[in-house]
Amino acid sequence: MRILKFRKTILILALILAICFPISSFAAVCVFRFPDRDVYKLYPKATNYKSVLKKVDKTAKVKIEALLGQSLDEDETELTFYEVYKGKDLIGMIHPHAERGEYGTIEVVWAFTLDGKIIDFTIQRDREKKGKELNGPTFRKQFAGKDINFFFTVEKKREINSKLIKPVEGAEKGSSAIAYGAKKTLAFYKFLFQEVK
Amino acid sequence: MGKVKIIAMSLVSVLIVGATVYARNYQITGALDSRFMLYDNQGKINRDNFLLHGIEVNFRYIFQGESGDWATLVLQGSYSPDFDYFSREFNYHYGDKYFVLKGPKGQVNFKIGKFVVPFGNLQYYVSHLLVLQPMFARSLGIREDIGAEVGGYFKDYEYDMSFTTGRGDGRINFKNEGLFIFRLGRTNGDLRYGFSFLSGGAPEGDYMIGMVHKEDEKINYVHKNRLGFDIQYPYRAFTLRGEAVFGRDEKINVGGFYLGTDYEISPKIFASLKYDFWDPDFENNDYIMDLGFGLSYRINKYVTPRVAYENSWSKDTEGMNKKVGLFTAQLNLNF
Repeated sequence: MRILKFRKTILILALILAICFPISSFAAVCVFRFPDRDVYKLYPKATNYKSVLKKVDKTAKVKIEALLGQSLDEDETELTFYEVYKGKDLIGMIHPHAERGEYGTIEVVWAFTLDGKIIDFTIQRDREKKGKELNGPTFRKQFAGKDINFFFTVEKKREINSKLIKPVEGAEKGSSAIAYGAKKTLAFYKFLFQEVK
Repeated sequence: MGKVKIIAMSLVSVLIVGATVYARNYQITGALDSRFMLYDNQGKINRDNFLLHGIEVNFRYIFQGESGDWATLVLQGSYSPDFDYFSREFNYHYGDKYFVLKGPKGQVNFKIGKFVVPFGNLQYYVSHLLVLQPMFARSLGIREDIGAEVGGYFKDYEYDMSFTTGRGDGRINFKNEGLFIFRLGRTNGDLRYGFSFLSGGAPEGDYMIGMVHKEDEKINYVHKNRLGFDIQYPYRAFTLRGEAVFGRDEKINVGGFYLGTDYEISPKIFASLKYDFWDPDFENNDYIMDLGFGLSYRINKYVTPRVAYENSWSKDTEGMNKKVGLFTAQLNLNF
């Protein structure tokens, strides 16, 4: 009986802590699965990278949600960014980000300049029917050079702005997930890096 | 200090330290895995049906210089009131403690400490808090071990080479003959596969069914050679996994395979299915099979309950058949 009581106590204690004090997640929302491979794919001249963990505090959360017109996901409390170096020179940023497509999450690794302009992206994992096309150069090129002022999505929505970015035919949901992911990534960067410097 | 106090202090310290930091180069997290396990035809439920499988507090520190990260330290404090610290079951799942020194461009990285050995799908399928496990207990008899590893990427190719003590029980002891593992893998789009080679002394495989090794049982060590092929492919809402392993235990030919899949029913609900078959001696008609099905519901990132049912069948060298069914309800808490 003592053992049962002990286990019951531990379970209740753990449950209370989990529910009342949710403060940290081991991995950020989207795990960067292959940093030692993909950093150098996106930045061929890079020599190294630095991991930077950022907590999304209340002030940043309010600003980001206002810009997006959407609530952040409950998991988005702590994010990992990667500063990309060539020697000692900081040459760019990387942030892996996941959004839900038609058949599950699409994990996109975004590469962007220090002033917040998209360089390129690569999909590290997806389950979409048109995964190859979504990760293909035709769709990807439409994002290059765009910053947070670009209307990636219909205002305050998650739907791709098809007047400015042509979605992959037959993969509108996947295209929207990527477009919204671009906007969200740049919003995170703006309010967690650019505006706190 | 009482067990309740140890666990409570661990959990509270994770929360307090975690709450004080905003941008940093370290992470502190924790997990608690508690289970209710019920065997077919067991009869009356007793205290052994309730299990605190393990509690872990993870500390990860990234060493950074002017030109980026150059090393990582991972330390896991783990404890279970129900398993011996040096038992095989406990060391299948817990006790990561390692240091990684990064080489240039991710091509050559050195690891030293206690880590998951780089054989087959263990290299990327993180299963230590899951109920349904891949085939390592049958095919290798080891998952975590103490030693050194070198690994890295060349474009889409990855390689890992490790030399460990081969004990698999968390003890530091260099009397064992040592265990060498080499894996060459490739990711081609979403397809991930690899070939593995293992040679050296390692614990005899877990060939008993329906056994959970709670105590520090005597482990028999044998010289093993293994060749393995592993594959993983996410297709639509499925994540498909497979592994085939063949080799020798001393002079006995052994082999088997594992098939597994996860299916995303909704963003919060996952179904899992696994099947593995292991032949511990090709000369005899003995075998071990496991078939399992599970469901997990991710309430939020802190709380995930799971249920699973696993059936194991075995036939020994004398032709005796055995069948065991095990129902498990798990409450997995992450901080």
